[in-house]
Amino acid sequence: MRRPQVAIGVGIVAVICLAAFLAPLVAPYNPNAVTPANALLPPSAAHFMGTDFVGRDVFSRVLYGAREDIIVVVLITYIGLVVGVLLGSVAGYFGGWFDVLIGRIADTAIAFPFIVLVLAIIAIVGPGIKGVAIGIIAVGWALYARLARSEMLSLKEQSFMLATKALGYSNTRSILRHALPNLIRSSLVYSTIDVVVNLLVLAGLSYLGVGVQEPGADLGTVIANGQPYLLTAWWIATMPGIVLVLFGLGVSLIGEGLTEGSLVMSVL
Amino acid sequence: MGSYFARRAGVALVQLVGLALIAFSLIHLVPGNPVQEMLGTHATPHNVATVSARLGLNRSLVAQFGSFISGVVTGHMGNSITFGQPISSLIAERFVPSFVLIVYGLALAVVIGVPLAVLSAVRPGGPLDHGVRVFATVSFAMPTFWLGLVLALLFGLKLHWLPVAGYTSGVGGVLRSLTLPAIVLGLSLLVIVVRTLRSTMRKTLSTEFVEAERARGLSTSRIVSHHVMRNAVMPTVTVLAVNIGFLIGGTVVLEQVFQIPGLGSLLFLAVEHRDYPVIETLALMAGTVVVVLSLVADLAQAIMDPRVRLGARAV
Repeated sequence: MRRPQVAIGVGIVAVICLAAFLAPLVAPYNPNAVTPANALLPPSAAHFMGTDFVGRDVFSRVLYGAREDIIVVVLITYIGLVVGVLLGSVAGYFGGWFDVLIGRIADTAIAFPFIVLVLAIIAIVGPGIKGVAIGIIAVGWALYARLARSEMLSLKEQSFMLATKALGYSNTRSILRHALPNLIRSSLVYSTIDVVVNLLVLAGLSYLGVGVQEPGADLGTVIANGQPYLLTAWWIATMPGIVLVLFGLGVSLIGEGLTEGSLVMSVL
Repeated sequence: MGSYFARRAGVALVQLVGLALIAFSLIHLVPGNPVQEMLGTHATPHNVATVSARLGLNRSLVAQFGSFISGVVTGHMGNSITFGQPISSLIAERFVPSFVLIVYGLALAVVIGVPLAVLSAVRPGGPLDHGVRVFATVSFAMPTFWLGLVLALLFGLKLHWLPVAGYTSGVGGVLRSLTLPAIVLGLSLLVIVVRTLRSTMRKTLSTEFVEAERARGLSTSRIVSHHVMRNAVMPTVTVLAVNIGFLIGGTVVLEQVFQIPGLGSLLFLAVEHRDYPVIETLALMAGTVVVVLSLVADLAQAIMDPRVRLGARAV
């Protein structure tokens, strides 16, 4: 294989995702089972990642946390992608006032520091996944819209697209059946980065306490739980982070392997 | 030159207005009644109505926006609901630690990143180049708050080299208390700097005029310092300016991790207490900084690179 990166990346991601989705089967303990007698145990054969301050098995919490995080993040990212690609390609295809309007809104959405906007939305909607989801989608669509729009602009002039006009195809058909499948490649590649970024944002917000709420296990909250015990029980805070890094690494490898030359990176 | 400046400034102005609209209308657009959230579930409709009236939320949208804008322009943003004191003084108090942190992080990123990028570009495919790329991929996947915690654990708690919380002023104090968060902040920037600088340098290094210079016998270091760098600097500065928003976001998280009393932790406190005036103001500030910096970066680029200001006519 010419590019081992994609294989390694897929491998890492697959292992983590499988383990996470199958959490109910794989996890050795109930992630919310409080056993004060076993509090703060270091990693061992019985507890791969040790236990936290109320005796919950960290490994199980990490598994369930990863599961929740990954599902939420993938959903959020791809909703944003669909909305953004649709808006962007329509804007690029038709041009005119719609294009300018979408462009302005998208640019403003991107100008805003992401976390600030998400925090503001959480302040209004209340903490929890709902606020995080709204915030991420509110900014996420803009990036895909820009990508899709610029791809559409160059695609529009190609012969196969001009042919659809000559053949009298409706605009809907031209966009959906002919332009979109070509457009979408760069957005999909970019979505690999986006999934990582959004996952880190979700974990970060959960760490701050405004993302996933207790008793839901989430990688960020487990890290937050571990902070007071950093010196005595370092594993609580560090283990979930390692999982996050590995996942991010895997996804980035896939993205890089698919990019073959930083074309998409330059749009960032 | 003047027309480019005018056009670009016009775009920035439109963006600022758009930002103000968004910052203002967040409260009204997002589902849920903000006053209800603020007061909690035990609030009676009467309470909600009273507080709404006090905050001026029952006036027409246009009137509210009007006072929001005049507040921004005059600098009197009203009082913070949580702290009771004027927002402007709150911001003034907490401005310095955040500002210093960002500058420190930027400085680290540039001081370490530029040499790394140069060395990588000059020897593409070499061990350093590969090492840098692996490092970039890995650090991209790292959550900022986690890295901050790990560094705090290693260098603060285990080795006792640096403090892990708080902010002390003065040069020595800053260097001690802000080094760890600045490293984390700088790291993510570093990756961007190295990537951009390296790719623009590679592009320039493979152009014909560089080949011509080599043919004429100029040493690599001369070529790099006199020609390649000039072309590479501007895109990097632009990318940095654009990523300021991301830096600001990182500050919010890091100030929580390291307990620094800056604007980031202020924002977080405001969110916790539903202090909408403060949130609006900070959001607007952050957005403005990004818009202004992008404007400055674009203008600087226009000054240095005539192709930019002449646009289509240049080529």
